[in-house]
Amino acid sequence: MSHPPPLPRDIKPPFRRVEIFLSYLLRTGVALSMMLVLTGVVLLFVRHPDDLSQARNLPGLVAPGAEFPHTVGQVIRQFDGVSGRAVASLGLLVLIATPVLRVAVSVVAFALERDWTYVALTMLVLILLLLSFRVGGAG
Amino acid sequence: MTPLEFILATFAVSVGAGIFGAVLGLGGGIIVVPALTLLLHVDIRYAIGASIVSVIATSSGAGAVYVKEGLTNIRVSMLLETATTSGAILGAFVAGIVHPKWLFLLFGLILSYSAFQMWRGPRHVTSGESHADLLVQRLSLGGSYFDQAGGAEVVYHARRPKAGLLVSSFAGVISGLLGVGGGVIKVPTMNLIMGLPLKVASATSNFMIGVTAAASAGVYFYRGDINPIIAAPVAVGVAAGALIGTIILRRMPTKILHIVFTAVLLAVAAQMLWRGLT
Repeated sequence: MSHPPPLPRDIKPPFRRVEIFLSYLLRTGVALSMMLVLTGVVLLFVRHPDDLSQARNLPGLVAPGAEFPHTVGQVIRQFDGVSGRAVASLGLLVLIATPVLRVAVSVVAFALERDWTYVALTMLVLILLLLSFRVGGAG
Repeated sequence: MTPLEFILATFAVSVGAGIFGAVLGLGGGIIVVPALTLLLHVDIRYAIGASIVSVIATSSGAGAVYVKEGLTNIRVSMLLETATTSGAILGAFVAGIVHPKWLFLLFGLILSYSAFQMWRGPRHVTSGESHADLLVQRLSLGGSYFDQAGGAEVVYHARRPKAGLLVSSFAGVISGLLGVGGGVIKVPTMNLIMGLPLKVASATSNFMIGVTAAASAGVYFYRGDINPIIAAPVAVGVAAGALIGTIILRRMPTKILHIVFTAVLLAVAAQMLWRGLT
């Protein structure tokens, strides 16, 4: 009777499907975000070539009080495809959303693996994450 | 400095921060915040906002590679995230009760001790010395990965999940209160307490810090601390650096990783003790 040696009991067979899917999700999130952020920066240059070549314009862009969209509503309202700052900010929002989405997807992934201990743990993390948004005053 | 030069300089610094963060499992904050405030004279609020973005970019960018290669231990990350996130929420409540000075001192001492332990050399539980208890078996925290530097499959076990959870919740409280100490305490916790190989600890810490940072990033964004002119080149630079970092970590001998990590621990410990004493 020959069979492969069993893995030690604290090691489950690798769940490659889940790993590959999560990796794909992260890569898509980062790629989409980078595309938007880069497009936003290029648009800034194209639309305001003078702004970007004059040293005296820097404080207005990066000093406290600089104007830029900072709520989802503002980003969407200003997103007309040509406002560099709104496009870049949308990219940053996509980047921020990626890890949260990753946790949400992990709940489903562990459920598909019938790993109920981790379905519960991952849901707990998701709830705590949403709770921390509330504690921080953003939700 | 023209805005164009500013964007290019920020991008260049961020590539370095991304490499550093992806290799060591830390956010790039240790580099991004001082570089932006000291070299580029950016307001501290915007620098912290950009550093939160850099942590997420490192975590997701490097994570895409590490998860695919099986270097990240997803189960360990989920288990400890329950502790770090609840610790962070607790931290928001106890803020104001304890003077930050004592926390900086305590944190500095813990890091100094971790540096000493790390310096004593690499130790992890290999397949030869399995003594998995019932909880470890139930949580199936062990795993394996292919080590390119060593040219062999490394099978490892995890131990002491309860101690790991305890220290992680403390790390969560600290980072919730001080805005520091994400990865720098997670990596020693997983390596020294739970017995995971250093590369697995680094990749897993890297995976975890993105989630914690995303929670605070939402708040920073609404507060208007994430200025796209600053955060955009940081995000792109760090993501590019993180990809380079994954290539380096894969090929780096674990021994050298231990030396580099010990040095970083000492540097951060000194910084924390200094902030506690002054």
